[in-house]
Amino acid sequence: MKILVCVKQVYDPDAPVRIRDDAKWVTMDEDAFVMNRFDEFAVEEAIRIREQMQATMDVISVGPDRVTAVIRRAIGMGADHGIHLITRSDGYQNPFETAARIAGYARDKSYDLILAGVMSVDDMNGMVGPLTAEFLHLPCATSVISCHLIPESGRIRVEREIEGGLRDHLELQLPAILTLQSGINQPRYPSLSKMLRASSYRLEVIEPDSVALPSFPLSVTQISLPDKTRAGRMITGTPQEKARELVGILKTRLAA
Amino acid sequence: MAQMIADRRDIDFVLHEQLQIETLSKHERFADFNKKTIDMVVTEARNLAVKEILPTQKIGDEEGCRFDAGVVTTPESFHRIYDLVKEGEWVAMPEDPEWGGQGMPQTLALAAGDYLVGANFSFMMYPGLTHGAGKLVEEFGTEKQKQLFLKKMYTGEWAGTMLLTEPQAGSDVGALTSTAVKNDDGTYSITGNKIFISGGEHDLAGNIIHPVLARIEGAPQGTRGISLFLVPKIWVNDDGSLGEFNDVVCTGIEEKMGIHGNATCSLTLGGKGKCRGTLLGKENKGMRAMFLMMNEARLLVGLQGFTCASNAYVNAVNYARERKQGKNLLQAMNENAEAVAIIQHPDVRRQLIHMKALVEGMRSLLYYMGMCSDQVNIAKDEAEKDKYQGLIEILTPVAKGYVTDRAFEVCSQGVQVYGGYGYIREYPMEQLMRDCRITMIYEGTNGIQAMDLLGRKLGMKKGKPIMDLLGEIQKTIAAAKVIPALQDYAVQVEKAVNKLGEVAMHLGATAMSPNVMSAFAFAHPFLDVTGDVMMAWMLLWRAAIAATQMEKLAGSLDAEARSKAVEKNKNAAFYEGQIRSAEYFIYSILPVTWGKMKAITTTNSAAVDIPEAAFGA
Ligand SMILES: Cc1cc2nc3c(=O)[nH]c(=O)nc-3n(C[C@H](O)[C@H](O)[C@H](O)COP(=O)(O)OP(=O)(O)OC[C@H]3O[C@@H](n4cnc5c(N)ncnc54)[C@H](O)[C@@H]3O)c2cc1C
Repeated sequence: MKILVCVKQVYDPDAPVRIRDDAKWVTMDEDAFVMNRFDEFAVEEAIRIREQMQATMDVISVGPDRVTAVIRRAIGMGADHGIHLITRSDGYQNPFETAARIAGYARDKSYDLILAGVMSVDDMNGMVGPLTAEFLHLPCATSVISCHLIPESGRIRVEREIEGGLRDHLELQLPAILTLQSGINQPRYPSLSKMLRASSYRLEVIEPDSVALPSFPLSVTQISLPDKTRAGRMITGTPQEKARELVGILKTRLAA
Repeated sequence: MAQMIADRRDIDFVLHEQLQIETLSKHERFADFNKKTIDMVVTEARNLAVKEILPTQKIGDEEGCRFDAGVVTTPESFHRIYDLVKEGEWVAMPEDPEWGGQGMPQTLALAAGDYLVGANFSFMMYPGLTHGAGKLVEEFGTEKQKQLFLKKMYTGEWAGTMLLTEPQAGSDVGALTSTAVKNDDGTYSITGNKIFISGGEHDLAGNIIHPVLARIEGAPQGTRGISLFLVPKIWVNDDGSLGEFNDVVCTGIEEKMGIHGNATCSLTLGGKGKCRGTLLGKENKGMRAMFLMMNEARLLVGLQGFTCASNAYVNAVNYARERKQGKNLLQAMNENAEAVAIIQHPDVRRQLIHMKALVEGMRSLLYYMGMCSDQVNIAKDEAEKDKYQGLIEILTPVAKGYVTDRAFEVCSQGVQVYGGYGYIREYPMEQLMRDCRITMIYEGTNGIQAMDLLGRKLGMKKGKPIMDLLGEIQKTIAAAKVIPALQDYAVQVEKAVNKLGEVAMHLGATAMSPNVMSAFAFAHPFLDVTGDVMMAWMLLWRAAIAATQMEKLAGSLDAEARSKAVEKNKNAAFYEGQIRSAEYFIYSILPVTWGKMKAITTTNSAAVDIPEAAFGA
């Protein structure tokens, strides 16, 4: 079993973001990048599969130099090998381009399973997984909350979360791509000895000009903060006081 | 972004800019620890600390430990984080990988500890004590003892403790009465009662290994007759399998002011005559073994106290930025003026800068000591090794005694910044202050630290360590003097250092004279002023680096250029903060230190002369 896990480095959701003067992108603190939370689920799931059967797991990330930190973190969690697809720009990362680069790399590597997060917490497009599947002509299931390999038939059984609280049960023929939703597992933290291995591990680096990319019909025109449509209200006091006040508010609203 | 536990920028500053930790990677021993690795370790320590351990701080305090018929139950949430610390291999960071450590520089382990210990120190005592006990096995154990115990301890599978204290033997360990009788098979039967044992019994690990101080039957009285034994809670057979319960019975746990999550146990050893241990090291050399381990243990207690202060500071700054109360002083007469964030009030700013300067100075001092111990490990010759070892010796009482005294003061000021909210349970400040308080007491009370500095460390090796220390400080002063903006800062620190030298000579001489009692009545004030001067040194060192960087960012060090740079650039704001911390300490605290030094040289003997009856009460 050969597994590829796609990880993205995202800006820490708790860190401050400022819109640039040209309104085309944001400025970010250089030291506030983290692994996309949903991709942690993917890394964890791959490690769990490898704990159950003979498997190797690679992690891949597309981005500028700084993204090697999340590749190494994934190795610190337990991945065997890391691949860095370098991009020159540090700005908006077009999901078409990301998926095309990943597909370009994976095409002749005979992966049995490609895992990704359901979306990235920064752009929330949820496109890289399905687009990669499209480029590679592979079956794909999104928003997966549990998966189970059936080695005899070379298939994988998955449960997906769909709208309205419903669940989908599917079986996919491998090779396949899954994008994972939160709740599938609890990602582990890297261990020190694996981090030390990760920091000296030689990553496989792929330069941008080694693949010709078609042009993609997506670009940033303008960034703005959403308009304030309603005001929040903070309730203060002890937990008891807060609860009492909240109950009072709900009562008057329900009565109205 | 609001920082939690500790200011990451400050940690990075000390590691990379002040101590240049990366230079360690030139040595084979630390070759793996380049900047990227160091940053990754600190990032992951912070990650684990903030996401998993910090949320247990308050729960651990409220839930506390429970005792029932010999069984101690730790707070529910501690089990998961114990496993995470174990699986993450954070227990024995600086130790030999062969035994389950990670071979990390001590300096880096302290930085990771800044977050991990800072997230919940009563919890981190369990792995911390395990590491310390393991270290005793590593240093003094036979090959067999190491094979049986060490890896299991360094990986956290088994826990460890330290059994010194008995009811009549606290500060004076030599008064202990636990006894050991040699058996035919080479083991010893141990009997005795130990009290105040941190983590003496709990439910976090499969076994607990107790290093125990006891006296072999017939051994001399006092410290010369004390031996060290390894006493497992559950006997470990020669093949490594677990044997019978080893008659180490927990008879109760203490109700305490703070660190509620850590069980403080009374233990009866051999109550049924069935407690066995093996000798660790040589007969009657138990105290020597303890002394060798003491510096590290005391540094860690310094770190515990310090992290309470660091938490208190980041919380206080964040709170002062948010809490609106009172008008700006300049608008006092304006009826319509709005309430401002309390960080605008001069008295609140004074408290914040006091906390800031101390937290920064203490962080530098603790990490510096980590660096000294790394230097001992990679020293090119004996002379270099001796020098760094000497610096550790002389600074240890400061890192434990002075740091925990000041840390508590910082916690108290943190409570003050919060006003009434600081005093109530819903906010974290009162717990930090309660938790912090123990660090001034255990691992040698701060009174004992002060006596150690005056009685042992000052005159050690004919005063070479103190001379080496003053020499290191002079280097910083020289570097700061060439920066015009800092020249007077450097002159002030130099004066204080010279005065400290005089005070040390005076007090050292008084301690050898008939006035010895009066001299020791000033041991603690002497520890205080020594610590103050160390703070001034560290802050000047920081300011010298910061001024150089600031000049690059702002183009010059004049006031206008600096304030422009601060507005635009986060780093410039940080460096400005460094210069201001030094300025505050040197011009507002060092003069007080001068006064204290004057009192020490006067060595008034009222405290000694007052008859006991005159104390009244
Ligand atoms: C929460 C907690 C956890 C602890 N954990 C451990 C542990 O894990 N293992 C362990 O072995 N012990 C532990 N201890 C014990 C701790 O180390 C002792 O309490 C401490 O050393 C002081 O001893 P004592 O309480 O007997 O006080 P005393 O020694 O009676 O001291 C009382 C006061 O007298 C002063 N004093 C005593 N002797 C002198 C002297 N010669 N000159 C000047 N002043 C002096 C002290 O500074 C102190 O102010 C713990 C204690 C607590 C409260």
